Amino acid sequence: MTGPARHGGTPERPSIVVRHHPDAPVAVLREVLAGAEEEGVPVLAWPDPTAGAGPPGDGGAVALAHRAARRSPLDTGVGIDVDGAVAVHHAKLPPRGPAFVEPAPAAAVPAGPAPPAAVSTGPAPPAAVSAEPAPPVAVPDEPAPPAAVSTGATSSAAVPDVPTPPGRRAGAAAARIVTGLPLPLDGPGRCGP
Amino acid sequence: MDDGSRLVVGVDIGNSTTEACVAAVDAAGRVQRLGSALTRTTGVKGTPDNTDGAVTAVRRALEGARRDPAGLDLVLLNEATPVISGLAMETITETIITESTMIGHNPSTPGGGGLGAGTTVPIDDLVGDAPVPGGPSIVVVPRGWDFDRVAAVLNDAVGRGLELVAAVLAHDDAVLVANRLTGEPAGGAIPIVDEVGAVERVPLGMAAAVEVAAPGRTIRTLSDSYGLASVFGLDPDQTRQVAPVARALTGNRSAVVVRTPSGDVSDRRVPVGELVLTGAGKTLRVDVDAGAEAIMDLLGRVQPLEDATGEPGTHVGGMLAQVRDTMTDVTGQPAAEIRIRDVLAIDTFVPREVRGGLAGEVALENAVALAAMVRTSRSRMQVVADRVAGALHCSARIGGVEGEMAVRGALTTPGTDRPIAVLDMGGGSTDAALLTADGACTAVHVAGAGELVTKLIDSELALDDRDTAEQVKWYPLAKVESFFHVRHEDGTVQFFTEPLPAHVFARVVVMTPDGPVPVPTRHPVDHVRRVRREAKRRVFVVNALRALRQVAPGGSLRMLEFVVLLGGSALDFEIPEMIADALAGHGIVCGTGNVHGTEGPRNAVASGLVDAWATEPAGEQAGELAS
Repeated sequence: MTGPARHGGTPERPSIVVRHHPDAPVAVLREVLAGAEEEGVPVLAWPDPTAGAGPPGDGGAVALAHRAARRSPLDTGVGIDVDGAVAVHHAKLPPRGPAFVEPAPAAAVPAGPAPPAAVSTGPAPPAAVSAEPAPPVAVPDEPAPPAAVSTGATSSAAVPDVPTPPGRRAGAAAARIVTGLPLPLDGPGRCGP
Repeated sequence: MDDGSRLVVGVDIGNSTTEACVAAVDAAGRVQRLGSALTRTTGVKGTPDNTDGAVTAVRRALEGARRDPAGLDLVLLNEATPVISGLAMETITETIITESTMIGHNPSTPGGGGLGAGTTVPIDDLVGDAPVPGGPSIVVVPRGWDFDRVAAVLNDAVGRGLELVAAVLAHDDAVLVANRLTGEPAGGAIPIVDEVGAVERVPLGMAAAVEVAAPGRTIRTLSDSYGLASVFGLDPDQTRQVAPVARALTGNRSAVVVRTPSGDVSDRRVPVGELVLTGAGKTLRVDVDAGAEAIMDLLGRVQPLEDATGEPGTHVGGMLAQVRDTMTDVTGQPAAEIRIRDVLAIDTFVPREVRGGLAGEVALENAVALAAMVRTSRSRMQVVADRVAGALHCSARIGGVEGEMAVRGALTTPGTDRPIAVLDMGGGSTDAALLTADGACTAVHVAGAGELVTKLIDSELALDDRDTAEQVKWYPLAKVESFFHVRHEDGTVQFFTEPLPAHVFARVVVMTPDGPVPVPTRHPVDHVRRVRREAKRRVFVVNALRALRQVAPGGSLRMLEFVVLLGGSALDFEIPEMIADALAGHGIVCGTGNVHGTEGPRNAVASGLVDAWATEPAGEQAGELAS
């Protein structure tokens, strides 16, 4: 198991890079990591100590995301600002034109019935600075639609009354940029600048 | 005009568009075309409501030709009889899951893999120190459970002796949970299905099986009748009962089957009533659920069709009645005198959410789409002509019958000769007309055209959006493969210097002139393309052959030599070649019209009207202009 790369450096393994404000909400960071892991793409995260100090806008999610994308061997980065707003970026996109943005959660971040105190208590714990990458499972393109019964409406059928936790869609969007799947369209996140 | 020539406008009022063609005709009958224009038809074709559209088209054509409307001498209209068409669809099968026996499901990211068979257990029963259930267990996790906590509870329960063989989750957490399982078998090895929306309806304490196939594979055991029999120990009778379950799960990457005492999946035919066709001295009846082939067979036995009625209370019956009512309103003819003169039935399928499903399962149900057409002999074009004359302060008259004018216009296509047949492919009906070598002209209208194609695309792709369906019909498809390039449906790639918008990333798109527009579907490009081409083939190729047989001498296509395609759908990027392919075997030259060598498949009737008038003896022309 490789640890995090040098602070601020470039990870050796193919992975999405997350850069977040040192005081970004831990719950949002956790969901960003979970979103990428669920899609089967490795992800590494570390705080960006310059986030609060730079010129105006430099600590914003979009600027953080673009810096992260340029560090990522997969050209894909996520930025989280101090309020928990999330942006997803690709190194080849214009700096001000992120691929996906999720606004900061309105109030305190609601989590599951047992919100973990730290980022994770799991056996393969993603620490605050280093998400243990999931095994890089290839995410296949959606299988051919079945002849008889399939689900055309998975997302609409899923959980109308429990909202997707903030950050999860952004994490998934970052992974889907890597694997070439459509970005999530519904919910609080939106595509493009 | 100073040079003695007249400014004449031919106007063709069609089902959906009204076209105008401006020309100067000199004393010797020479025609100089000055321009043309096109607008939406107002009201039902052949009714006084057409006046507004006709006036607009004339004014626009004059503007385009930079001619003063005050100098206009004559407007020529086509003799058009109202043709009203209707569309209806009847779903004739229905899949019902009773007692929640089955989840056939393709979440984008199921977890783990393999097959697990055991008893369904709620995760709440595993919390705390209570003894864990004995035997193989499939844990069911309702919404609101965080993935870390699910993994912790499962790991703890396995530590206390739980034989965990599979899990079913409400949230999209399967991979996350699988990555955090530590027990035996090793983490990731048990199948986990997620995004099960109605997980609370999964029966608990029942025998069940969960299967997740490896990436790129489909399930093998639960989609096989004997696989189900082996898993659940079924006897031959029970195996026969579960065969529909196996069939319904075919092609999925993951599935859950719960065996409940009386659970069942049924695939039943929905009775949708009768269609009654009258013609050739016979009245024959057919059940609509017998399918399109049976209906079209029956139609062939009552040609020429005199009338059709449907059972009241069915979609088809309602549609036929509505077509009749609309015609009554338009013409003032009593409903009893109005006859349905053609129907076109097409077998189709409709993706429908399965009743009783737990994860929004969708089944492709069979359906029959029916187009019907009614026409009358009573035209009110003289009223339109009088009103146009009043609005434009010029003479206006009916210059010729639609079919004959279309043929005349089509004959100006370079490379054509008599005998010539035209196929006018519009929105509501497909019209054919034939001009023989000795000058006789016959014309027919058959039901079904562009609107029906749009409807088939809309329902078969479950778009539920007519505008998107229309775009899928009109433009080629592509897949956005990166922020900077697309792969077109023919396999070629195109690079863009500006990044493509993120909302089309990795999606199937329609390449419209305004840029790529996403098609909301999970189907790959190939499938969408197949649906589009099949819809066009089943409507236009079928109707081209039907209509041409009706005008061809002796019903033999071999007697035709030149076929010219006209109308809006002749501008389609693939319909002309599909029809040409279908006719090639009959020794027919077929292609898209190019009226006067410049106008393409448009304006055949409008310019035919002007040409016909120009060849009339000068004395008759003068008489009209004076009146």
